[in-house]
Amino acid sequence: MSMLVFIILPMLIAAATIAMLGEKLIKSYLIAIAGAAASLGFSLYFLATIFGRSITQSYVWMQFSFGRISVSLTGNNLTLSAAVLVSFVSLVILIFSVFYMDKEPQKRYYVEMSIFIMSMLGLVISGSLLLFYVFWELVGVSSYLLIGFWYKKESAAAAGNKALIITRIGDMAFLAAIIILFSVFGTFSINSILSSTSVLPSYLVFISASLILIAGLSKSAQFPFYTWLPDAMEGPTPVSALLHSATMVAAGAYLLVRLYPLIGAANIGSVIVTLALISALIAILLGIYETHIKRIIAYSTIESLSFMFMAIGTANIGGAIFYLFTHAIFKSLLFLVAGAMAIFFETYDIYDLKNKKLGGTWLEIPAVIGFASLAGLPPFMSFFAHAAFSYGFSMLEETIFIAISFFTALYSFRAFFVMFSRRSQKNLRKSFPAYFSIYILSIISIIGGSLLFTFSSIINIHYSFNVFVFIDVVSAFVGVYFGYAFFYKSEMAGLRYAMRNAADRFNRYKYDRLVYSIGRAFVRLGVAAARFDDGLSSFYSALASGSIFLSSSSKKIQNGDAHTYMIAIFIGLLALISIAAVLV
Amino acid sequence: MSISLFLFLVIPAIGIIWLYINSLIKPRLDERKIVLSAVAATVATFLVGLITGFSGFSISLVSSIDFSFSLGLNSISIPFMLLAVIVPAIGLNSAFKEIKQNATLFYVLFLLIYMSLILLFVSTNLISLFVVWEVTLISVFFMIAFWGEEETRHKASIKFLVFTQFGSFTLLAGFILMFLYTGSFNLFVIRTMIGSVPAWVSYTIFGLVLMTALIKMPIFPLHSWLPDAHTSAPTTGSVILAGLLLKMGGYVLLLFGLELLPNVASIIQVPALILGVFTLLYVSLVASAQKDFKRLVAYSSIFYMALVFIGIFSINGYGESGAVFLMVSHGFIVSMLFVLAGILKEKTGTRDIDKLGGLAKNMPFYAFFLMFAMLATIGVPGMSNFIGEALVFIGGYMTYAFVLFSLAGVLIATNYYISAIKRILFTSLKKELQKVRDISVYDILQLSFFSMFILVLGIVPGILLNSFSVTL
Repeated sequence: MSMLVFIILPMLIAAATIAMLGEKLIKSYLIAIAGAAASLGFSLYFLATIFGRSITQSYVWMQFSFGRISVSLTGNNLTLSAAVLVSFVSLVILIFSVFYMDKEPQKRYYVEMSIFIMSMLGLVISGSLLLFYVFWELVGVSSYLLIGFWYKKESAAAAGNKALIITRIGDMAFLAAIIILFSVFGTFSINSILSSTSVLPSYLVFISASLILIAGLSKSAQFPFYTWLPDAMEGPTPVSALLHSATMVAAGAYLLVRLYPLIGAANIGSVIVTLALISALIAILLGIYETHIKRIIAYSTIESLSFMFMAIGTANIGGAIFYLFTHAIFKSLLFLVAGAMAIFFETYDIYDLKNKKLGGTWLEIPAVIGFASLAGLPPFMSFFAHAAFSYGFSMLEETIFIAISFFTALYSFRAFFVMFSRRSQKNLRKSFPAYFSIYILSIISIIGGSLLFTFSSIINIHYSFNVFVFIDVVSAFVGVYFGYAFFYKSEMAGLRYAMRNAADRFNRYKYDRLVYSIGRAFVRLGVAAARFDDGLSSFYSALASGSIFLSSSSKKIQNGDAHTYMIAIFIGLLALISIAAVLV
Repeated sequence: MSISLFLFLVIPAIGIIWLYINSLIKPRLDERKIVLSAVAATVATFLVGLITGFSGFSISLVSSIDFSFSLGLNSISIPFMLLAVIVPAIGLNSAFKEIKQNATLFYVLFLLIYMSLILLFVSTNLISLFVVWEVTLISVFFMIAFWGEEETRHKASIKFLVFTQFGSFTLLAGFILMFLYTGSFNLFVIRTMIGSVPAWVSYTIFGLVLMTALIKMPIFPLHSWLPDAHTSAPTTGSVILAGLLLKMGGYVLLLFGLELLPNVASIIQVPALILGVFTLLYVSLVASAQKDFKRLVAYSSIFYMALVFIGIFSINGYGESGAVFLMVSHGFIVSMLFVLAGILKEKTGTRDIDKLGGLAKNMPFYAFFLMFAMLATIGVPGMSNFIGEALVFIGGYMTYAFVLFSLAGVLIATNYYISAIKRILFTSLKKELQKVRDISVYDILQLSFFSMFILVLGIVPGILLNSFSVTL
């Protein structure tokens, strides 16, 4: 009997256990790691046993005389391999947390992490939209708590709020979509809805697909919702690593993949691709300009997610999923490297890090692997993923993508060359949790490419190593070379400044300011409404006191003995009852 | 052996008499012990009754016209009874801390309200229903007028009295009309006879009941008594006000509006839904400009009552079930928030959000519960409000798609709640708040009770949903 709920339960139990036990009895991280390992074990077991089939387990949640609401879990190749990915990355990051969060409050951190991981695991194996939404919201809320983990810092608290409120726009769109679908189909089951989308009137297909797209865009930090993601870097680095690789942001793309038949039926592919291209462009411009390493990686996350959206927009689901897996691995690798540097040198600024002389330390090779994966260079896993997700691109999209490849390589290797340009005299401390977690991710990033050829047995996937892929790689290598020349050799200063000015002109705060001014407009509207309401209130107050003065009893109410009143009421009540009793 | 509903009159009444006797004799017993034992006995009776079942009770005064005091369950009694029995009982802890003067009188009032609220939801006769309805309102008026905040209580209590008495007047007028045209005060008799009354009478009755509901719930533009009443009421008063008094409006609307006259309800469905959505968006905007945390909570409770209103006027199973569920869920959550607002004042001396900051450092337990209540109120899944909200939205959308605009209100609510939380709990601790201590064990216990109900209802909503049925 394969109970899919076993994938979720370990993390729930872990959260409860950590919350109940103190730190003294057993280390919190041991419980969390054990939970994640158990989840990984169950995910692998179910993937192996259910492989190639699809099973759904339903539970009745609410039963009415006029209908019922059920929730279900679905196990198939897609959901279970996603569960494997989530639990694996979570496990690695939890191991890294032992190193990174050593001096921080343990209990709160591991409880919140466990709830977060549980929600994400629940999300990927949900078989009903309602349950998907439940976990989707829990992911949002626990990320809000994790981003604002260092709540004493104004910026961290603000970042948590921003993440919650912006992603909640998408949540509400999602809720609206599932209500619309429920009212038509009478069920939340994803399988039943997707198998009968043709029943849906075309305007409802369009509306619900668009709402789901909004949900996906906001969770995946795509234009126009991306502004929460860079700020979310205020959270502890393992949190960033988890949120921005396999989990939270990936949930948006995963939602669209899961509901692809509906999205595909709505013919909004070109909209998705356009929004994704805008996001990629913004990410590049911001990434080139930024000096905070975590924020650079954050912008690259926006870009990587936009690749997945481009693949989805071009109906290439296999490619999107393969890149989602690839991205999860190398992005968490990059964050862990950044986190390790922050622990060693207490800074995230790439120019500060330059002065700390990182070149030649054990972090250098993982960093190369991470940034090369970001740029999609061979022989790393990411190169193969590029060949897969660009399969469905049109001529125009390919051409734009060649430029994107160049700039991606440029800004990622800018960060690398700046940080590692000075050689170090001595190596850094090799803490096992850090070393282990970073190297295991590095190894997968190197050899994972071969998975592409076996992945087709899991998910229907197409790929081709055509001339465009070749041009892409060349373009990326040119980008790496420019990065090397600009930031390692400090050559071609004129070109570098020209580029920097262009990025400067884009001015990263403009859009952010627009978002804020929308928020402020609402506040102003609220103040106006409150003023109106106060006016209404005083009007009524005047009316009320007027009517009281007209009545002669007003003085008694103000001065009267309360006891007398109470006794009168009480005796009246008793009298009524006793009269009644007598009459009966 | 089933529990007679009469016990819910007897037990609190014994408590009241005991309190009076206690005030005359010496040495005096602590009033708190008396009220606690009366409340505990009531809760125990209720719990036993849930297992063994409840039996009705009736005393007829004029039997020919059913002028009687009769108690019995109707199809939606149990959820409201749960609210009426449990919420004031948990709220009692706030009274224990807060009430220093005239304790005997306060607890007499408390028990009187407690008794009449429970009886209200099990009255099957218009006479008994109206009597307990009035007793509740007058007692709450006294509670605000005597134990409210010094500066504002006079104005607020008068406003409360005028508004709610007007609501009682319309309700009474509705009851008289029902009696005149059906010849009975009995709820069940009226239900069978109501089909034969002239159309204009049913419209008038519905209009009068609707008026009462608009005032009590409250719905724009008749809501303005509520923020004032809450701001000046003692914490226990707020708990009773928001946890139960507002629900009386929803209850009579369901019982006499929707179940009795569904055809009239469907005629005014569209304007009612528009009014509901408007109220919801309006109060969420007003709430976002509030500086007083308690006032903010007060406005947000109007928000949820507007959602209940939408659910009721969806006139379908999902909407009605959602409305009832949301009323119960919101009863727990808003009471918890008012208790938390009370603690805020007690510990820091202010509820002004601008004067607070960084309390999570000194008050981790308080921060946990405030965060919990906040997440519950904005409808995070796993907690009870989500179920109610989702059902109301489903029901509302099934009738008119524009109801989904109220989702924007949820968004605004999220925004003002999280920014209030940030300013109260997060960032660095203000200098003048350095000495603030965390909440006591009793407070933790009290808040845990609320949290428990919120979680249980959110995870296993079936236990509540199965306890009532909407007749549609």
